[in-house]
Amino acid sequence: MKLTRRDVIKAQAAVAAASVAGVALPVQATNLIASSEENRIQWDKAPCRFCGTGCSVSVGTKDGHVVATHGDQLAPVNRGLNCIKGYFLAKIMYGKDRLTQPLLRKKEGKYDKNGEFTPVSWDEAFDIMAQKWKATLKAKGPDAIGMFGSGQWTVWEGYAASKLMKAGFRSNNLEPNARHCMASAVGGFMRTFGIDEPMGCYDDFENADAFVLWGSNMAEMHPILWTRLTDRRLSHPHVKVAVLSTYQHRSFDLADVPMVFKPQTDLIIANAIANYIIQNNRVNKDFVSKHVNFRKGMTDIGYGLRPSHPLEQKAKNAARAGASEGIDFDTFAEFVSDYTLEYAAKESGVPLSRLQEMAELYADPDRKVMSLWTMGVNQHTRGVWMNNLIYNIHLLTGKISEPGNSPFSLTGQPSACGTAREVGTFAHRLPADLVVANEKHRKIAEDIWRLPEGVVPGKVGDVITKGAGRVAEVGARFTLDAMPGKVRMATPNVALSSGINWLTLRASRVLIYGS
Amino acid sequence: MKNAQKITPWHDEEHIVSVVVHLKPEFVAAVDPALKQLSGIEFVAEDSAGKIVLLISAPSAAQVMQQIEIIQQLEGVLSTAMIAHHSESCEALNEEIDLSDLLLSQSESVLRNQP
Repeated sequence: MKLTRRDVIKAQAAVAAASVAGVALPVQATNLIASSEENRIQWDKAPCRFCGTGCSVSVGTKDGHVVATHGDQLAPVNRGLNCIKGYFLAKIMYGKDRLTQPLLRKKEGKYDKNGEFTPVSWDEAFDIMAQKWKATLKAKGPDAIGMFGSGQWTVWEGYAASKLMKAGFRSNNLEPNARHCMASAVGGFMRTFGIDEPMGCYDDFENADAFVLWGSNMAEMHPILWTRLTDRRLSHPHVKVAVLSTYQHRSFDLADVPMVFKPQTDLIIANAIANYIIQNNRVNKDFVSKHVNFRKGMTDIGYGLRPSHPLEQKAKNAARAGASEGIDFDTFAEFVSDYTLEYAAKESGVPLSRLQEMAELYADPDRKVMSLWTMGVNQHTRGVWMNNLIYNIHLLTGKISEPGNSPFSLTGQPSACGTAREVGTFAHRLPADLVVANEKHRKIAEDIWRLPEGVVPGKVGDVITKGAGRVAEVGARFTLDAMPGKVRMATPNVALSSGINWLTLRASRVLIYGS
Repeated sequence: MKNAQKITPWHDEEHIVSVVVHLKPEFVAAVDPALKQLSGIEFVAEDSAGKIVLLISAPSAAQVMQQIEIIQQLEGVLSTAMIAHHSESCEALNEEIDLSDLLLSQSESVLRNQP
């Protein structure tokens, strides 16, 4: 019998998959282990840097070259699973097109804005960058420089960028592309909970009795988490999956309650579920009386467009988009009473029976529900409202911050929350959730950075949406981003939108359990 | 798929990938034979709950992607998760293993290590 390394590697790959899936192997599929192979490949642990799921992988290198990747079976997130995106990550390192040295536009050996990209040494690249930045700083001051970052940065990179820009260059013109994807998720968190942190965790997947996908196509976009959801659904027949989207996609394959709705009518659907819960006497009164405040937000707030835009000028409350006033439960109930399921069915195009089934998943006190969403909700023209409305449903029923009861905003980038939000790579933020506009907050940063008082500027920098339109005016700019194209492609002129009606949580007595 | 086809394979490369396919249980009977017909795919194991373990071998990452895409499109397939992947030159994989170096199974290796 002749055996090759291929046989050994195949056998090990098969055993790894079978053990992750919990499938028994047939007798002939033995686990071949060659001790020389064990010595040849060096295995190290690494986080997958592709997306925000947080998978752990074992990376195998041979002669300093990555040859293999296994999902880490001990990792609590991916439990041995891997996905295609992570698979390509190792390949990207050896891609022919990978940028491995600085390029400078040159004509006849000299820098020229209209020249061709020419390879230059790191020394030359740093010299020219320093020269341009110094010239701009001297001529126009710190307001004229800026930096784009990303949720793809590590926490350390983001922290260094924050310190360099805010303490070093004394400019708050620092923004991540996370402004686009997470601004309304953050707005939703801040307005409902007063703090920008999610309260659920992945263990909710194995504890929920129902999943509601608000626009997310998890099957293709969050394949690892989708596999956990699929496992839960298939191994527990009572579990139901409701999928809402403006078009039919792969996640519908597992849907018990499939729903295709007309764009924008999700706001109506969410209010109708709140109304259904109230009308059918399914409000968790104990929870609501102990933990929930009711507030009414502004309507007619415009769309965060430039002040000169006709739609913005027409909007009465554009300047007070974030304002709100306290109301009571009865006023809230009266407000949503117009939103019957029949009305929602008529407006959304979703059959009444399906809306009823979904509303019942939320209303049933014995069913734990996980709501899952990504950019369909967050990049909505009323993204903050939509976040607020989903929280409303969970707060009315008290289905929050318990294993399996979890409104869950899924993210896309590995460190949108850490690098962008917590470390403060935003025009208005400082590390540790502090803000530049608050003098006390600036003082804390200055003390930690051992700087004299008044070094960190209090003026909020240009946000990305405005900043991109201002590129021509800005003297020097850095783009340090794994996907800088995304920043330029997706830069609409939008600002945070406001909520019609939302509930806020008095967090003191609700446990936030670990994630 | 368009993007995947643009990827130039390294010459003389071989990719070995193991995947777990999640099926709706009622489709296992229909999907099984369809999978067994695909070239470059080895059927490893399955259970009645709708999980199938497969090995994919292909000369490029793009072709691995294509195989997964084909599996994904089969009716009843809910998800295809990768578990392990390995890529090296065919030459390196053709290297023979000295049989004296081989421990046949994990259980056997445990037995051998016992005093």
